[in-house]
Amino acid sequence: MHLRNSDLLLVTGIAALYTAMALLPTPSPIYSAVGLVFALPMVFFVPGYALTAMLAHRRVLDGSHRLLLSLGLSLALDIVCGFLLNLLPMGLRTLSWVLLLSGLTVLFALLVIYLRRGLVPVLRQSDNPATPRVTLPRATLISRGIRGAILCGFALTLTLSALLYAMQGVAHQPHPSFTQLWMLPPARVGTRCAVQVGLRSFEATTVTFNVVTTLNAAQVTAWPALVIAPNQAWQQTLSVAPVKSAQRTLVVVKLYKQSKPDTVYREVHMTLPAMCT
Amino acid sequence: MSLTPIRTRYTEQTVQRVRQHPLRMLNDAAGNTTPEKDYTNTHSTIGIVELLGGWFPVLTLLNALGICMTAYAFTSSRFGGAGLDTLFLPGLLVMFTPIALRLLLPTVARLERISLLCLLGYACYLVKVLSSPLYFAFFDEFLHWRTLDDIAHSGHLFTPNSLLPVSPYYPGLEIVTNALSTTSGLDSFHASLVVVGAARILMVLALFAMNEQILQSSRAASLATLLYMVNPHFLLFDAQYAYESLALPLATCMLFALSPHQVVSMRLTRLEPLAPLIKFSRERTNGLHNDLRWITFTAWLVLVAVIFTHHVTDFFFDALLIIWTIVYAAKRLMPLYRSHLVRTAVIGVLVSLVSIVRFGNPVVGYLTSFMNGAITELGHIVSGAGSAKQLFVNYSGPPTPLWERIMTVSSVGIITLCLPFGLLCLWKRSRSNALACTFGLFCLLYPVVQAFRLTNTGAEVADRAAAFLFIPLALVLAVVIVQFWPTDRLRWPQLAAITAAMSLVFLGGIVLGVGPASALLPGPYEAIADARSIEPQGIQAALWSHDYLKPANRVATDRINQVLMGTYGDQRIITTIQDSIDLSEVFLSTSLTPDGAALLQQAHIHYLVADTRLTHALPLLGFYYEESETGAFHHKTPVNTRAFAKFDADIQINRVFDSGDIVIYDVGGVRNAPTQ
Repeated sequence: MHLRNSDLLLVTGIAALYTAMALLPTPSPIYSAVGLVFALPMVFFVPGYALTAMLAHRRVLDGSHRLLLSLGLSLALDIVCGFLLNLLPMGLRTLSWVLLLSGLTVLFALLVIYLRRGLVPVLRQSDNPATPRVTLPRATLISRGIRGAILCGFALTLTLSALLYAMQGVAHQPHPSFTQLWMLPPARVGTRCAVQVGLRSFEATTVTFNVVTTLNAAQVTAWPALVIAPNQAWQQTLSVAPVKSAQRTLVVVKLYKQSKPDTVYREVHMTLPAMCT
Repeated sequence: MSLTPIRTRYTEQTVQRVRQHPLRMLNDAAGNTTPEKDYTNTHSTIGIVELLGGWFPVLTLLNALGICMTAYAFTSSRFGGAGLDTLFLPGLLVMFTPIALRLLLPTVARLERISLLCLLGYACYLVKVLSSPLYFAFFDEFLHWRTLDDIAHSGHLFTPNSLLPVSPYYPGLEIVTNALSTTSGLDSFHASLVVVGAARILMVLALFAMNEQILQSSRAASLATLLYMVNPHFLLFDAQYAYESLALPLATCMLFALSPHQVVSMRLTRLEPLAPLIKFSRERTNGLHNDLRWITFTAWLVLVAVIFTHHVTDFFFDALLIIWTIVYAAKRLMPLYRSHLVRTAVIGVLVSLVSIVRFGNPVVGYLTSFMNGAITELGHIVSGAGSAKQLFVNYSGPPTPLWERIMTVSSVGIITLCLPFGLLCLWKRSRSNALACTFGLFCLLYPVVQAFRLTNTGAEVADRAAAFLFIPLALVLAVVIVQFWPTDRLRWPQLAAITAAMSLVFLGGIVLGVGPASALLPGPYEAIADARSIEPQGIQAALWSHDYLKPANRVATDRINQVLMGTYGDQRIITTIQDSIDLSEVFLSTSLTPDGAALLQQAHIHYLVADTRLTHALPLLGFYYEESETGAFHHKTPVNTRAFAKFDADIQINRVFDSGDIVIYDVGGVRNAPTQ
């Protein structure tokens, strides 16, 4: 195969499309759908490919070496570009990344086209008749190839199934259920203090709770029979009346499961400062 | 899988010769210049159709089967089912062994070798993904996730990260992830999976290509790459989202780029005197100069990327470049001042120094504190002042099973045993190659670093070093196989024995690198067991702190809740490594002493996060809060329940959150109290 610039046209085309996608008004459904399709080659392959073509423009590299250098140099370029972008006020953002990576790709591609002028077409190793080649009848090759492709497809399906199975395993892994109870620091409400009390259930089933609040050991509020479904939250603001005799006010909130009314399930407490009393 | 042509067989005469002159036989085998002479078709070209028509699809299917087995083992373990020996290790064997056998065969084409290596490398990576396919679960991943999030939020580098202060100064991995994440719309977790996956492919390709350049054989190169995969950190540690996972492949790519340097330089030296006289020489000289330039530029670019990605990889490869230069100079191959290798080494060292002395980079303190502790402990053991760590003993849970111990010892034993023979072969075969000689020198470090396994703080050194030392070591071990079992003498029994030995080393390496089964397989919560300790209650508590307490509060807590609060909660975690304040006594003491209160004031702590599960179990890693805490690595009982109850008794401390096992205390009252 002769050295041509079709490869460079392809990488330049990818870079152009990549830039066009990024310049679309966000959030663009097109971008989110195909963004990955362009981002993957632009981050991992295309800039490195163009740079490799520029550096080794006199060389015909082996396919695996070209792939390796394209990947390695793309990653290295990404890192160096990250430092360059950090110097700009805009920083590491979508547009800056797209413009820099696309710009570099086009720049390298143009340089390669310039450098390739007048170069004598060179045979790739695989096109060299001296290179030994495994030969089998065409029909046998094709039938074996189809069988192999089917096997690979089956292997891919198995792998994806294993991945989905593992994801299901994580999602359904048994963990002890729990409920969060909290009381936030006081906020001034007029002349009285208030605290925000809340709970969120991560129990396996719907649970009925009782919430009891005491001020300096005297019960002031109770919220009985709160029915909370899994992942459901409940919040209340509790106003704290002044306790003139005390310098500090100890607010205690206890959570009980209705099924075990004598056992404190969760407890939070807070000492309100003197200015609140 | 034909083994023809078969040239010679062991005859009675041969056996006699071995009996009479084993050393001579050894020397002959090591010095055999054509151990693969009859298999020229190894270099034959095949296309995709031929590849699909061969054994590759079958081996792909076997790998998929192995992945299914490991997925089942993980899921079974999550639900309290069978352990390591039932399906996990057999699954890995199903993946590894057939490919090892195939690569040993001399008739396999180069493309198939590369494809099989990429397949196995990626399958091993998928095993790590399967262990936690929905969220980060490895400890180090959280540290880098924080840096990644900081870059995404601020759009700039170098935001301080108290979980791993050195991380923002080496942001290569996070930069690449940020590029992919921001331009594709992928979230941090999925973008990180793609980045590390790409790094894994780069590692395999770079290793193969570099080994092929040195050994001039695709078979030997594929065996060397396969043997690299038996290193204890290949399966999981270097597949996690951490800077070494990207830096190591990049550094190997740099070595690949530089590996033809000597050959090109020598050709150039020979041709240059003729250049003014002969036109062909002049053109060839220009071509070689051009080759040297692009080789060097490629190496420099990748080297700079390595320097800003991971410190230890950078230092290791700087050392390798320096030793390579010294060996190169000792061989008097060409004047040093003209060598591109010297320039590369100088550039590497200079840029590393610039990176180290950047304002605020804590890397020197970070590494020296770790190494000092390990070396001091090793010194105490050697001098008899301290006792060696008991091998195969866990701080909690059952001891390591006997079969795991045997496998681990065999793994290290086989490698150590093969090492002298490998070095002999390397000397006989490739002593003219300066890089090969450098690799030989680095291999000598392998037995040395094993001594650190006897220490508590330095045990990690041996495993961490393996990822680097196995680059030269795998090459040396591959040379042993190629030289001592030449293709014309390979029979099925030998193939089976070599494959079995490689599989044993592979499994032993996994057990060695990961430790007890509880650290490897997912399952119910265990105290301070990294991945096993990451569970919904801790994550939800951290998310609650993010939503209700708002980010950037100064928080003190145990090792696991540190990473959860620092990432999900976006809190400012107070750590010894960043703040030089050890708060473990505040948690472990049964009363809040004036010293404890002073520490809270000094660290400006706003919230304490107490995990009451620590009062029921010993820490798997040997410590709860810091490696320097009282009783670290020697805890006999869990944390005293009164240690956490003391916070409830103090009127200056508010208990603001309770989810059963995790309690958050607001210690703003203590922090703001007048100092006595």
